[in-house]
Amino acid sequence: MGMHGPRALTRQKQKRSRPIRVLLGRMISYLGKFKRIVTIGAVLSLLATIVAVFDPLILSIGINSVLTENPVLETILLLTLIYAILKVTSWIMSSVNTWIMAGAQAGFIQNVQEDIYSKLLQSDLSYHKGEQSGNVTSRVTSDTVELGTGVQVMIDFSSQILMLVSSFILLFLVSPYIALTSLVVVPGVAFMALLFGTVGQRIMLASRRASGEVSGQIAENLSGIHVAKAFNREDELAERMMELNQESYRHGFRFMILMSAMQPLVRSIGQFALAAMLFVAGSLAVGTLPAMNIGDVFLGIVLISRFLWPLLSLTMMFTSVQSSLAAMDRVSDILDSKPAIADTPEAISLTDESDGIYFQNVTFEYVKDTQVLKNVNFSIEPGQMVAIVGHTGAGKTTIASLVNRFYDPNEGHVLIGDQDLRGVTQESLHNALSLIPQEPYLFDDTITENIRYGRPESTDDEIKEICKTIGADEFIEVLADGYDTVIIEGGKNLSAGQRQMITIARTMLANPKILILDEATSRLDAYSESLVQDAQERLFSNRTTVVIAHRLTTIANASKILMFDHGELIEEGTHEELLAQGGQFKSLYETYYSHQGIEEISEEVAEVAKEQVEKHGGETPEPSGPGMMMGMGMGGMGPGHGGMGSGGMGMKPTPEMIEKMKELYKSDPDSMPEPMREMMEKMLENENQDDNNEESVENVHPDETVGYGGPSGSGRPSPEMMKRMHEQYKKDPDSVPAHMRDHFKRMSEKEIE
Amino acid sequence: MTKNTSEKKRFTAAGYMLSGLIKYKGVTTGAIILTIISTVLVTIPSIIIGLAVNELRDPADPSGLTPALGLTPQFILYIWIIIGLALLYMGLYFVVGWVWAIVTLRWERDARQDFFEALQEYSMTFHDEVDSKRLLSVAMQDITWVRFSLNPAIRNILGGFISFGITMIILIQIDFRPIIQNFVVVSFFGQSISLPVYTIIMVIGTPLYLILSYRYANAVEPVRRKRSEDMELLTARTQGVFQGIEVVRAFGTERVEQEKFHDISKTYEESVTKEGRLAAFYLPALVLVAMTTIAFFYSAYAVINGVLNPGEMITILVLLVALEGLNFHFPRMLLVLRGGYVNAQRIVDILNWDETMIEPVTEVTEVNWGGDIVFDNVSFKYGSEENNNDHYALKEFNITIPSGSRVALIGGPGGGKSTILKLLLRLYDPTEGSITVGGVNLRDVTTESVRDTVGLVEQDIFLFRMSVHDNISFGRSQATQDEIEDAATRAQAHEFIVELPEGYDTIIGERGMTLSGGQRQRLAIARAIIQDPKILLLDDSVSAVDAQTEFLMRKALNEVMANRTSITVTQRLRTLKESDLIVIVDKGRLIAAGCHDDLLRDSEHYRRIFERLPGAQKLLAAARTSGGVA
Repeated sequence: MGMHGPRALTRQKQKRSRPIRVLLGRMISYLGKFKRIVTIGAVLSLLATIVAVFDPLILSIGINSVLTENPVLETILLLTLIYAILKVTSWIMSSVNTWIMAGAQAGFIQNVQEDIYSKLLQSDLSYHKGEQSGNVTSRVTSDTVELGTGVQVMIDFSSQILMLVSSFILLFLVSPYIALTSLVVVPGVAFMALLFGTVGQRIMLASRRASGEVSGQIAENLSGIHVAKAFNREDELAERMMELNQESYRHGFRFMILMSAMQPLVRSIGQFALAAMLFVAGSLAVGTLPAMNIGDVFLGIVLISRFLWPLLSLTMMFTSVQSSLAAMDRVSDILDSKPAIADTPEAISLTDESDGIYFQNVTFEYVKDTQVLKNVNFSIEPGQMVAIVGHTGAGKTTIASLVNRFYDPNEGHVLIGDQDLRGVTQESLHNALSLIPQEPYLFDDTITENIRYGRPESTDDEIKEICKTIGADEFIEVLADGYDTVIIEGGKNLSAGQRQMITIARTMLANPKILILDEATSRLDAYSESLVQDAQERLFSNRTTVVIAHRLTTIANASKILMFDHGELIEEGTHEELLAQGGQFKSLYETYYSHQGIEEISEEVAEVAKEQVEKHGGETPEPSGPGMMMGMGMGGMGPGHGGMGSGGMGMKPTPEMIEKMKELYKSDPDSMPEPMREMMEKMLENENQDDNNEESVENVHPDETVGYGGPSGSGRPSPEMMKRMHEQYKKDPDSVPAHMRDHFKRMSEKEIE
Repeated sequence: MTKNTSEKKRFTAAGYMLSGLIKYKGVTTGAIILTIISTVLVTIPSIIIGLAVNELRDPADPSGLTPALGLTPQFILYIWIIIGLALLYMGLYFVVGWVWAIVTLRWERDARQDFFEALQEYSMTFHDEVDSKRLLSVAMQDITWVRFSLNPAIRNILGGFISFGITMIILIQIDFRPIIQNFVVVSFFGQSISLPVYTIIMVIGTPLYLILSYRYANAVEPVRRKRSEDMELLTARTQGVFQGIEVVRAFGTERVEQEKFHDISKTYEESVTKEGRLAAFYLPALVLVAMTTIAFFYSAYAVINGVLNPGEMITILVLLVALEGLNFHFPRMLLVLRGGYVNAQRIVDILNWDETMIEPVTEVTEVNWGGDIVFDNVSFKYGSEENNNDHYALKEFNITIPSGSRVALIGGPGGGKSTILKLLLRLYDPTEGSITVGGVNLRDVTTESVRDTVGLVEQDIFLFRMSVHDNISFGRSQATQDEIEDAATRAQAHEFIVELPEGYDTIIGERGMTLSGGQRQRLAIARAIIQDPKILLLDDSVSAVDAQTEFLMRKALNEVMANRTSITVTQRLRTLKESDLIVIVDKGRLIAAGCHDDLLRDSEHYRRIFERLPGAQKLLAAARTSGGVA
């Protein structure tokens, strides 16, 4: 998982998974699309090289013709002309070549980009979930650019090789000795190649990594700038920054020193070769019967540098070729991947008549051998509004994903109407249904365009209308540019609730046949939420709607409630039916949904608490403390709209709550109402410390404590406490937390007392 | 930190670029001198070659046609000189590289640090407006590119100039030899003038070459800029789509996105092609060809006429052919230099941003932070002055918050709740009106002291990728481990912290991903507790948590809210009821303020909101029957 943000980008893939041959072949095959252009380019490049090799020859002939007994000026003039023509020809040819190849190279990049992009658009959601979006993006952007560079390098490479070989042949023709002398540069170049391949590579990577650290730190600090400001910590962050910056400087310096060593080394090698050449050529050019004349010496001198530079650039290219191959490899990973979810050739559109959602024996796992849904069967009839409830990890969101066919079930079938989703084109499926996900996501575009995303052809008025309907226009109007406000960075200029409102408007505008809301209003305040709820009822009253909900009214209004637990559908029915059943839904309901009763009690208890505190003459510390503690501790009083966040309380409510109370009692007994305090005192007498610790450990990993120990399932509360509570219950049933109430009701039924 | 921004330094792009070189004047001068010397060192061998070639001729034959009988000691000496110069050059050039590396890399490091600190210094208005992705790329890429334009670009361009210069000197001095002086004579208005051909070649050719090169680099600039912009667009679009891939899937807009991408990538392709093609038909190369050709013919003519020896001709040709080597490097480096200017412009644009929030000239240090907080006719709009935004986030807002009170802030999205909190933190200054604490206008207090005294628990908790310990001590850097643990305990966070793999030393993943929402919130509360602010601001409007988390949260909140003025954005019935003051804002205006009971009685608006809150119905019913709420 890439949760290290920009830093993840600096992590390099360690090893290429494909042989060089395959990768090169791939690059060439991409270039194949530009066969004609590339061929022309290659021919031009060949000719230009050959011409370039010949022009020093002309100069050398010229020198020789000057140094004859009777030099003819016309010959020299002719040679001069030939030289000029050759030069200009070579200039034109290489320019035309550059011109053509620039187009081919850019086209190549564009082709690869588009291929990767469309592949990524189609690829499985699991891939996107597992990768940082920045990483995915760099496949399309920096990797393809690197590939482009790779192609350029390959072209350069071939022309350099050509240059090298032809220069050598020419030298050999002039004088084999000189040609052999020119080979003195080889050990020098080899040494440098070695140096850069090993030490250089390492230094470069280290330097890149250090600079990646800096980049990551800047990115993080920028996104947390408001916190840094709020806590006045700019200086410390700047110091941290300086450390990383210094580190990056150190590595960068080493790299640059290496590069600085490079240039003089090369030039010096060239000069040594020149000295050697001069010596050999000079030895051959003297004596009574010299084997060489001055023109040849000149040619040797000029060609030695012609010989040196290609060799050198070849070693330099090595690095770019390497990174380009690595880019090709990463890109190939994507191009080769087969999306698990793709339209089959015989896939048909979802018909208009198909409606209703049907799960048949659906089993699903994200990770092998960890079933998230186990043999799930249910049907949501057309027009029904069905609520899916359950604790965290029950598989609710997975159901939403399967209906959207973000994944295919491992076993069983998901159907809309009588069409199995596997046989339906994804486009028609997604046109027919809409999902409002938990996490609102907005594009960096105007608010209008973000909402329009739901239905591209809709007018501005329609957009305003829908916003009015859900009560979003109020806040949009107040924004700097109203509806034209540009969202930046996914909506950093909006609150979470505002972002959610926009996604809701977007989906409502899309006007889907089937609507799926995955805790879509969790970030809204209760008032806004009720507006959305009203709009939903008005606009989607007769449509198939699946709601993963945390709101009581939604559940109560649902045609049907599906209660999930650890991937299994355990209860199914209307609100009343399920409550009457007295099963797990009931206990869930009382933990999470039935705020009303609890609220009232807690208020009352709070009053009691206040009185108590006042009676004891305290300075009224934390006036809300005890009441709050009671309210929550005993009843799981939710917040305004207590959803099911990270799952905790529901697992084992009673004992843990009591533990909490004990803690509170220990830390601040005065904050408790007297009767409670007495109870706690007694309870604690009966408990030992070990139990306590054990309990607190459980608190930390609520998700691991499996099973919903209902109130009756645990014998933890001491008998005394139960008795007290029961008394209170009898006096005023509403003053006891809901599930306690429930418990007492049952207790009295069973006549425990 | 506290800086009087009125005397803010303005930058120019050129000044910015050269600031590094100017900063280390002595070192830079040294580097330039060494560069000149080392360039001379690689040029001298060309002259020596000419001298050496002359040694290959029989001195007895002045025509230079007869080869010498053997290698003269002089010739061998020349070879040794070349080797010696090469060694000297190698050493010297390495030193040059070292010096340049120090100067330019230090500049890069400091520039990046300064840039980052400048960003941190800017008020939130800036950060609201500017995409942090752009800031990041300026901080990383643009600064690096400016450095590239100093080293290697300026350095190599300098080298190129020197090569031209040396070649020029060598060639021109030939013209001044008496033997060649009257070699080519033209008659000009009856007067005969001796033509210094080499001088003419160099004096016309060199500027022409440089001018054409410069024009080339200039032509590239807009193309290069367009290409970077296209790339930026491509990146932004791609990232946006893959971040929101679920949305794309859910609306089945893959094809639309594909088309959009096609357009963008085609545009990018065009600009890449355009840039690539600029390198073709590089005119300056032809100038050099012309220079070499003319020099060749003239030299040959001169040698035939005996006014130039073959060695000198070879020297001239070798020098000119070597200049052709510049064709490869020179335009590239010019481009980098020219591009560096564009990059510098981008950096400077950000550095010259006009800060709207100004620190007080005379700061008030004695502030009674426990005093009343008064909003006096406060209006506020987001964005800097220039963009004519007439949407007020807060309009003519008046309220007095008595010291030590618990205030609840309610209202719909965009009503102005978080704006109020931000103004109190002095993340922004009011557009109109004033906010005073204990009678002191916040504008007269430095942001530093405001933020020392005002604490914040924000809505979306941001945690740094640091250890839990460091995240908590973010509230107060010098906090001891005991204090931190105590704060964590009070924030109900200690228990889960010790269960983390490395306890307090556990590094939190980016944006606190590895912790649940409730845990993050409690860490943020611990952070606020350790800061021990006089005024606490809490944005608690999101509460999708389970009961357990909720319970712990409440307890933590109680801890943090004790003994200070607190202002809480909330939707919680209980918080409302227990507040000393409830402030309702809507569309940036104060709707009503008062305690729960009063508001319930007097405010229609409050009743409307209140009714919608879960649990309110029962309360209201109870209130109706008993004649009062609770």
